[in-house]
Amino acid sequence: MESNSLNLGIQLAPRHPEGLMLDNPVMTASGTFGYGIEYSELIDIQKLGAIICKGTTLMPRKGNPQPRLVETVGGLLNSVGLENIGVDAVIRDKAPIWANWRVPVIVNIAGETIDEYVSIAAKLEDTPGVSGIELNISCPNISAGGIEFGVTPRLAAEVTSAVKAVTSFPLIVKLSPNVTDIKEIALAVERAGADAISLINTVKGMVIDISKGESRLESITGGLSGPAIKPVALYLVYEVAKVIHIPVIGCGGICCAADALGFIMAGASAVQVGTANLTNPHAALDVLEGIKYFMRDRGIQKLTDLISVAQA
Amino acid sequence: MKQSLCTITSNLEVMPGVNLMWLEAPDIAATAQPGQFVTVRCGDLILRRPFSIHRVAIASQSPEPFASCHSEGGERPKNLAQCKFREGAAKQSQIALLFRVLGKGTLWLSRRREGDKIDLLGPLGKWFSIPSVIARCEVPRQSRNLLLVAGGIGVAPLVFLLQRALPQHQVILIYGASTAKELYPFSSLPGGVQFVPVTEDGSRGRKGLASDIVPEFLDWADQIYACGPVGMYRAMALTLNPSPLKGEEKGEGEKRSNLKCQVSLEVRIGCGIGACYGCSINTRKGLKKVCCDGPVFEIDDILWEEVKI
Repeated sequence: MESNSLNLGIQLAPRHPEGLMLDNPVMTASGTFGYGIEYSELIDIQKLGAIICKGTTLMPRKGNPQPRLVETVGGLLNSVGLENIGVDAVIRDKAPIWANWRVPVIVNIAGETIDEYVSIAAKLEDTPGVSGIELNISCPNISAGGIEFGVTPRLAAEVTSAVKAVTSFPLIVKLSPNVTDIKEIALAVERAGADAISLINTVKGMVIDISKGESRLESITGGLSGPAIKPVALYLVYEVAKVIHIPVIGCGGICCAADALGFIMAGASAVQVGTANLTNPHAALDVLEGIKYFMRDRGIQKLTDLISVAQA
Repeated sequence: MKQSLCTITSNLEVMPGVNLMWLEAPDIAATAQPGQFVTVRCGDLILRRPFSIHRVAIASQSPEPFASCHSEGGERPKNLAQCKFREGAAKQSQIALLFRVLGKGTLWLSRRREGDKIDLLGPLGKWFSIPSVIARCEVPRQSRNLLLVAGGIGVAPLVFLLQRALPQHQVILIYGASTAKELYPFSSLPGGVQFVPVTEDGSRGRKGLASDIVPEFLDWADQIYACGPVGMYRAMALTLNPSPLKGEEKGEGEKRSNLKCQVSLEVRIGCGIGACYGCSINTRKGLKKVCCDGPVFEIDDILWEEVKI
């Protein structure tokens, strides 16, 4: 609760027995904010609504070869390939630091099989410093022949319910935009027990270097993020918020408070700032300040009054 | 490390297509070490652009090391005198960036004017160190002779290193460029440094590449520092220590030299602070993030056959 009577608080997991109450709706998106620790010297990370940490796998991963990043007009194409230290190191080295923080940290997890997701979630269970799990279902499922979990309602639901069964943490499922009908997947995940849904993950893309006649990324394709994908993300948030009853977390190209407010009005209960953190480490806090300014300016006391106002 | 809006005090083209920019950046100037870099937010571009810190001028310090520099016979570029940090005029400590205008970011930066404020983040990354010399059957001793090898715009961080290394150390700077016009104006560099210019067309100094003449200085040098294109590093790596390039199993037995060589790598940087993993490279010591484990690495630690930049 703000001292000047603004209420930016948001319950992200109303179906969960303990819930996941955030002081404000501004989170940082997985993969752009490390483990939060990296930014703690630059900004007051404790003011954030929540931090979603780097995508975490069962074993440490080396990720993809260079080049991993290509800047596009208004966007960033990346193929980092989930380089990360693995869940054991997260529990051992990062979580004890998070345990002293006021800001909740949600661990983004990724696996290639359902068993991997389940093992990561089981290892995280009861870890002090962890406040929730975000399921990254944009990884290729080896046992399903490399199909992403996030592209079929059945696989998305299976991985969600399997993780739900082994975790007592609030569970957010992050959806991929690279699908035919995202609403079907959102509904399947909701039925499978997700406490909230975040969207969107990056949009698949590529860039060709015409002087070499080859992709600019060593791993050929990547995921596009940044302002270039914002209208796509906003539309999908709008569509998903129409049909599901659990909170939606909007993500995709949010750089300023106006962007964030657009997502909230489209139906998001909270937002994630991602690529903008790279452009400006203060971006997430600037978004938060701008939301407060807007609310004061318009005489709006509760953030929740703004959610879905643009829904037809 | 800090993010701050810094005022440009000058921004001039000092060589064809190369700008020297001085900025009031007291926080960065106070803590920066040679080899560290800053990132600059360039207009609407998504990625901040990394630049090595080229020089530092501390407002309270007197005299500024470059105040005593003399022309070494080269033509004095008219812009440089105006662009030089003037000790008396500056109230705040400054840093300088030297950059070649190559793409959207550097074009934007080249168009900033005196008085404009730009968003800087830094100082970032690991810096050049000057370790003791450990030779066989000898007591470790302080390094005296520093060999600096610059290729093109790679001279940028080495000038800051020069600034800090003098006068305690003897310094030789081998400086390679495509042609005489592309050589950083010698007149703006401090006295007490031996310059060895090398040009690809032979228009100034020796003809060839900077890496060609490195072997001539190996007996003299206690430490080597290099900044330039990857091709230059590959050639130097082969000169200094041929075995790792032929495969790990060959071990260190074939090492031609025990000289340590530190190089500054440039890859596309995402966050600049080790959070996004966009700049990770595979090294002999495992995965390293260029932005925070580097950009300065030991030449032997890099898998040059893998480096694609």
